[in-house]
Amino acid sequence: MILIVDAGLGNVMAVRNMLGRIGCASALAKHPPEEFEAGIRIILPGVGSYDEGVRRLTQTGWFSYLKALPASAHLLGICLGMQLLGNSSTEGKSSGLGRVDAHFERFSSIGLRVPHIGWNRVVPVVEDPLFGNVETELRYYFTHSYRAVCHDQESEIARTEYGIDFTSAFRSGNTRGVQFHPEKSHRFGISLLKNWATLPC
Amino acid sequence: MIPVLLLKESGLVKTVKFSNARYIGDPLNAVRIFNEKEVDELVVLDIDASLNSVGPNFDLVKELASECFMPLAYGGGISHVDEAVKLFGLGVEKVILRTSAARNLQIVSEIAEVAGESSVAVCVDVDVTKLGIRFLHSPGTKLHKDRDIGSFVKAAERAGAGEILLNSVSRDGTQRGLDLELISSVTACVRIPVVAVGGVGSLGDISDGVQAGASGVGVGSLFVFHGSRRAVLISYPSYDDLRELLGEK
Repeated sequence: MILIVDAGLGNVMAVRNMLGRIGCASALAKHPPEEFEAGIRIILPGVGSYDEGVRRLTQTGWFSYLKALPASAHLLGICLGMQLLGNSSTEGKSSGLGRVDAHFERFSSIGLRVPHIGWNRVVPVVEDPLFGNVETELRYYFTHSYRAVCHDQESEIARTEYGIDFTSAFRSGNTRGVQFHPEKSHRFGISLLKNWATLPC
Repeated sequence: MIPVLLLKESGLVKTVKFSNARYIGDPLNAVRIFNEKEVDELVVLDIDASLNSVGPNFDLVKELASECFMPLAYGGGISHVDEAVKLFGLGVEKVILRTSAARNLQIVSEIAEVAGESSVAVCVDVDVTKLGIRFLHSPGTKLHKDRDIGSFVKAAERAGAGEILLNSVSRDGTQRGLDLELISSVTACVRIPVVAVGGVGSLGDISDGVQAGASGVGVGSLFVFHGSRRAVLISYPSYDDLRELLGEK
């Protein structure tokens, strides 16, 4: 069973719709489960600003639950969800979940249009089951103004170029974050979510 | 390149110069077709919602969003931040504000505050006088007929808009090409992406728009009408064709 964190942070239905399409059972969860269940998979989607995200996760009880989640549990952060997995962001004052050692900075290259909105290429830098066997070019839909800066190079799993080459997917243990929106990236997103949902526990 | 679908009374329509709305089909069906064609993004505008002072048709948006495995932007009748939040919850990536933003850009700031700037776009409709002078087309607001388009888009950017949807009224539905001068002047004023709409009649018009500075080009008639009799046939070029067109490697 996949739980989708429903803390009022946007596109939860889009994630659920796509999981439904690939035949995965999922449920929206406004609050975390009472106890930690083995084999649980959690998706943390998100659209919004950093502090608002932290505030909502805290309010709903998700913040402390996700912070304490064992590294073996499969957790996938999408967009703001990815950013919340890191330590901090220059967008806000709050501390993130700190599950991946990274912080987020605003795109600042001269002449670059920010936010970065639209489809862009994602290039895996290590073999990660999330992207499976990469035979063709991967493209995903992005919409964000902040980018990950990983403190530990090992955590980086994919890069994308927008003015500069930045980390578009990272991982630490079974916690993964993607800056793009797989739920809105038709066939590319379908295969990514399928890969993630079938990762062995 | 973004198909722009217009809704009127829950049906899909296409206009010419913002009038003569012609019914072209069931929106849900169109979304399904665009899904299969792996469209980059879809913009749905309800052209009735603000005019009739009714809010967004949440049931219809929910239905459309549930079928849409690509980014969906919705505009029409959004006058309160709560309505935008509700739309995000239904699976909409981006809300587009037109009338309410022209009345007061405060709503743009409020939505950007809760949802982030990349989630809110401001639609700017521009018309031209007979003498070729461009002005803001925003009936029912103080900005209507204002000629200082640059000031408004700059103010929208300052308020927190993440994108400008630049719509040329006089070219809408005409398929006679984008207003390239307008695109150049507006993109020079702001750093946020500008999506240009109105007048695309060929794939070449799209690359012209991008060259003039647009980050994206919205397309209405070209993707839904076919042939000189304007028969309804939903089409979309393949990714490879588009790439070749835009000269990407």
